[in-house]
Amino acid sequence: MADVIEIEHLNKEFATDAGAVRVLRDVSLNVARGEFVAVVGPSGSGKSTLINMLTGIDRPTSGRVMVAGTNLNRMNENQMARWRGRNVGVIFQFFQLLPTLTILENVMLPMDFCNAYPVSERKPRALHLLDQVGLADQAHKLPSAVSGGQQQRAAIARALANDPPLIVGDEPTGNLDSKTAEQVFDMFGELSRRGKTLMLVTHDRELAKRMPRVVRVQDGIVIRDT
Amino acid sequence: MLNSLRTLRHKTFRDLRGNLNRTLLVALSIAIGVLGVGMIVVTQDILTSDIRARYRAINPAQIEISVPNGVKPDDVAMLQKVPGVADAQARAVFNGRYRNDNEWKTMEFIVIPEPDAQTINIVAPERGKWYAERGQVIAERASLGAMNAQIGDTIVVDALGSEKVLTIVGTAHQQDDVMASVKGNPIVFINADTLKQLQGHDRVNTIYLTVAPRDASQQAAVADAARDKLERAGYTVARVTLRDSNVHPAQDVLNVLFLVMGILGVLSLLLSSFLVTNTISALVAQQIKQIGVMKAIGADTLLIMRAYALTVLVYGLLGTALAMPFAERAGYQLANYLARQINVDLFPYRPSHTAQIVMLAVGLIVPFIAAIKPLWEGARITVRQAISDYGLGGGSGNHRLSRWLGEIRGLPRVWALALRNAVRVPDRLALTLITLMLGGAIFIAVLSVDASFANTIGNLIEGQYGMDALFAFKRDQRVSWVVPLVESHQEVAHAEAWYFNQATMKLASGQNVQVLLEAGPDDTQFYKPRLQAGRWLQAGDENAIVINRKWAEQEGVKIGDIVKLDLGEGYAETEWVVVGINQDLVQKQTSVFVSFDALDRVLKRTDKTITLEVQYKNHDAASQKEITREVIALLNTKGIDVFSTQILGDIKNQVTSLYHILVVFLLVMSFLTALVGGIGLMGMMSINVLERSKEIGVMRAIGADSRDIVKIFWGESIVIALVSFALAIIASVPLSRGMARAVGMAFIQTPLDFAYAYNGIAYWFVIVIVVGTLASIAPALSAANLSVRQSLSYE
Ligand SMILES: Nc1ncnc2c1ncn2[C@@H]1O[C@H](COP(=O)(O)OP(=O)(O)OP(=O)(O)O)[C@@H](O)[C@H]1O
Ligand SMILES: [Mg+2]
Repeated sequence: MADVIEIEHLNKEFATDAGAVRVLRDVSLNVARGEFVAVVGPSGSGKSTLINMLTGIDRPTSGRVMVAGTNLNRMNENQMARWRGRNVGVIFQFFQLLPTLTILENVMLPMDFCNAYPVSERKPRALHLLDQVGLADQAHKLPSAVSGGQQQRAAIARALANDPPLIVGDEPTGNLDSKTAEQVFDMFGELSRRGKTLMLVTHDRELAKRMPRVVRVQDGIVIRDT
Repeated sequence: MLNSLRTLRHKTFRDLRGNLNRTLLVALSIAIGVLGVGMIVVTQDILTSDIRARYRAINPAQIEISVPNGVKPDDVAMLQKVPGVADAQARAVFNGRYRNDNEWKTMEFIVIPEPDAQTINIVAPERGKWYAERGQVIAERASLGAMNAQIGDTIVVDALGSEKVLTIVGTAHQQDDVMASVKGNPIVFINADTLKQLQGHDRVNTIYLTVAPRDASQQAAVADAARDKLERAGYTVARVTLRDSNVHPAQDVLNVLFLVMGILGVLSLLLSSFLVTNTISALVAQQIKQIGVMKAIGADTLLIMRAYALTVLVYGLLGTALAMPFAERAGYQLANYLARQINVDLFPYRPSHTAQIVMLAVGLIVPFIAAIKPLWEGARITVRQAISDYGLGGGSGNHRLSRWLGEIRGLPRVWALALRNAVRVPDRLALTLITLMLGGAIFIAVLSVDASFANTIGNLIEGQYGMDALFAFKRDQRVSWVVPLVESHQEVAHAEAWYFNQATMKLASGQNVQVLLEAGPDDTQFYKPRLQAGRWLQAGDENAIVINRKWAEQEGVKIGDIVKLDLGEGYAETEWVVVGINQDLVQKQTSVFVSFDALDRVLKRTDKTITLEVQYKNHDAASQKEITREVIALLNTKGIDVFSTQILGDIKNQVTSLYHILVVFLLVMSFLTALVGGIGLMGMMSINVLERSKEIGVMRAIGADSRDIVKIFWGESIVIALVSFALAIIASVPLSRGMARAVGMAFIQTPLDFAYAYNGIAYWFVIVIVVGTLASIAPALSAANLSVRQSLSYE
């Protein structure tokens, strides 16, 4: 079976006032199904840019990006949005739950957007996902009424809503205290064991050390991949 | 301090330029408010000063004396010696008839003895010839339309029973009276020869006097002296009318118009100031972090207020600059439209300085007042509060209303989102709702005023007069013969003999007023009085009179008062007792009523009438015209000559034409308020998009495509539009009533018979949906086109 992520000779330049800045240089990288990958590196090295390539938020200047068997270069923004909703669960550093929807509704929203499950199944499924992240009892609260760690767990449930093969996160634990970060991290490990592919940017050395595969980026080049 | 201000100024201008759409939107909303007020000030300023100047230029008469049997030129000159009289001139003014559309209509014929020597009520040449020769007429320019004729056309007039063809050879401009379309009858100028052919004489019967400036306050005394002089010279004076030469006859009506429009203008200004409040508070909310940072590095509250005040100033300047040229031109056009309605020419276009000052003041000051609260609250934010503000922004929606909305189950998620988003920033929502609601309520209220006018006029004229046509015969006819004859036509339901004539009513106070004397059967089936006090005429009344409420209100006439009636034409003065006070709109509310029998005694006649009111079995305009033609034919076969006829539809149109001007203007203003409402909603939606751009990015990241995003914002806009619609309907009921009442009081000194414009609800529903869609489509599309990266990286 093909790898979930296939990156070949990826280059990325940003046009700035001072001219083109090369942020990623000839990156090639494959991630197999079920792998749990940490992306580390100094600030400004291109980690976020690399992750954005996988979600289609940024587009390569050259090279090829295949995710879950789909060539991202070929899609427009709307196709990309639908595809992303079904195939990639995105987790943000600041959780980014919609403030006017309850936790439960936030988790159901991706299913609404992508029409992934029959309407009658959406709510039980969302409740099940919230149960998995230990939030079943908070389901009807607004995000502002729960703690940061709980919000991030809700965001994880949301990322799982359409059962995507790939989950990416840009410093998903960056805004949590170390104890809560630990719990959330354990949750990622559990997902990986259940066959999800995860790729997370992290600054936390301790956490990175415990991940099976670490990709180190520096000046836009993958300098180490273990 | 000064340096820091300079840096801040750079920041301000960069913000304004960076948010060009927002800058334009705020400028636009200020512009509309300024436009609403400015336009009206321009119209009022230009129109008032121009019609005053035009009116003054014709040297209007202050005293008008009617001598039906004519006065010799030498005796007119004699009046110049009466103390206080500055100048005296006379004309022949007669009502005749002409044929229009195969029916005889009344026409006013005027002979100006020496057209080039006019000094009072000057009539000016317009187009074509200026001297009418025998067989020619010069038409008053506003009468051409009523006659449906052009220069070069001919008209058929009645000359002592035979028909005579006259040629229109030119037009003239008469400005001492309100326009022909209000008065009803076309006016033409002829020479004395032609008058002789038409009337058999060329008596000069109308004398105009001006009063020397130092005697202006003695106008009434001068008029009495002049009357005395004429009577001592053996003339019978039918009527003396006093006029204010400083005020154009239409000024009263215009003043009401300006008042109503002024109120609406101020309202649109108020609404547009809400938009400024909304935008500034959004701006401040968006920049809370920046404010925190500025404070952290040493700026104090005052400094920050000053920085944002500069933003407000720029908004105000832009908005005013945008509105001013528009308001100047639109205001002049409105003034021009109104001037045409009253047959006056404006002077050429020029800016109104008064209006410029008002607009500058309003455009610069109002935005500041509107911005004070959000600026103060924003600038006072502490560094602590500012830096702890993180997350998606744009209001948490964590308040009671949105929690309550959260309880609503079963809505599709996208709609639930739209609904709850709408209430995220309650203050903003409230101001937007008020704006839209008032826009809608005013719109419906204006239509209701229109409907109420139609209703009132319908009730008063159709309901009150109850006839379909008025026939005037050439000579007196026997009532006992002509009534059954007319009633023998199978389409005629009923006919009654009535009498109408101008008369002078002398009040107990010594005041003399001009009235329209109406007399009919005391058991009339047609006329339905609207009594305010006392009773209607009864059989056996010897000398009872029912007066119009206008005399009760303006002259203090009471039930039981004794008034004298002077019918002119040599009839003796008679005394009458006021038994009732009635309301009647015809002839500017001057009508008074006595019974036909009582009048016969004064006129020393029996069983005679010259006018007949007739009611048909069908009342639509087409039947009225058709049956009238048939009845004329029937009368002709019996040798009865019909002098002229008037169908009720025409009478009604005369009364209505004035009010239509008002309604047109009200609609213009309500369009403005609706526009402000629409822009308000659009402003709110674009602020929302701006504030929620991160959220949009998140939604796209979890699978929403452009359609979903558009749907969410459109849905929110429609939710607001619909709520405002419901509120507008509720608010429109008292507003419509109040407005109909105010307009009625101003125009006819009585509340209108209220009619709610239900069709306005349907119109407003369509408008509000269109507005809700248009207002959200641009912001929503721009939201949908934001890439995820752009929206997530948005500040
Ligand atoms: N839209 C953009 N335009 C121009 N330059 C950009 C843009 N986005 C990122 N860059 C540049 O690309 C480089 C890599 O940025 P990136 O955000 O990927 O770094 P990062 O490794 O995630 O850093 P951090 O750990 O601080 O988040 C940086 O030098 C940044 O300035
Ligand atoms: Mg980063």
